[in-house]
Amino acid sequence: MNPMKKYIVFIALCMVVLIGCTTLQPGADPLVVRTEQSLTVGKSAFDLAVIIDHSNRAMWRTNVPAFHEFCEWLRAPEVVPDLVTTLPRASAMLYSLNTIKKDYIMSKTSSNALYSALMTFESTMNQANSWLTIITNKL
Amino acid sequence: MSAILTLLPSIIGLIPTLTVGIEHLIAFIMSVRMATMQTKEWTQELEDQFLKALLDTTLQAAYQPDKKL
Repeated sequence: MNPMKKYIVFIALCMVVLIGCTTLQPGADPLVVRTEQSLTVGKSAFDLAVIIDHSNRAMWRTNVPAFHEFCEWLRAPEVVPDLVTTLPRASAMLYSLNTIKKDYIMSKTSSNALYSALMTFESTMNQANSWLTIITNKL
Repeated sequence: MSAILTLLPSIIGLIPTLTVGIEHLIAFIMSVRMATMQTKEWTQELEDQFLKALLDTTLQAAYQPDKKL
């Protein structure tokens, strides 16, 4: 890793570590807050992955085909039951998790269902984050 | 000197890519920061903003599959 990358990673870690996780306000549901935290980070991770891939699709397709395929998987249109239109898979996953969260808030579904959906979503988000780590080291 | 001049177009060509990457890397870091600072559920305004951002992805070029470009 070159000194500039080390510097950027150091700043990023400082920003995350020094701030730390704040305490929840009384009455806030930890499962809902955790879901919303994952939705926030997941949206940015998917955005960053597809935007980096889009900046030079031909290069990524040739040099890191697995990363490009992952981005294409995120872009594949998916039908969302609540909407009349399709969304890219990345957005459809975020939308679905948010819908389950809202159902849980309105007591239409159990905490187990929300937790399962959250874990499934986080596995995809972790995959995106792993790709971001790999490709930023390839640049 | 001539080697630098030969590489110059490639270096200039990389600048937009780096700019795109760094801008969104900062956005990603800021989202992690925002998530760690969250202390309560989203307000209706934040919820609406989030849903609008999801619907907007259908129009973004970066989210179009190769077949559609």
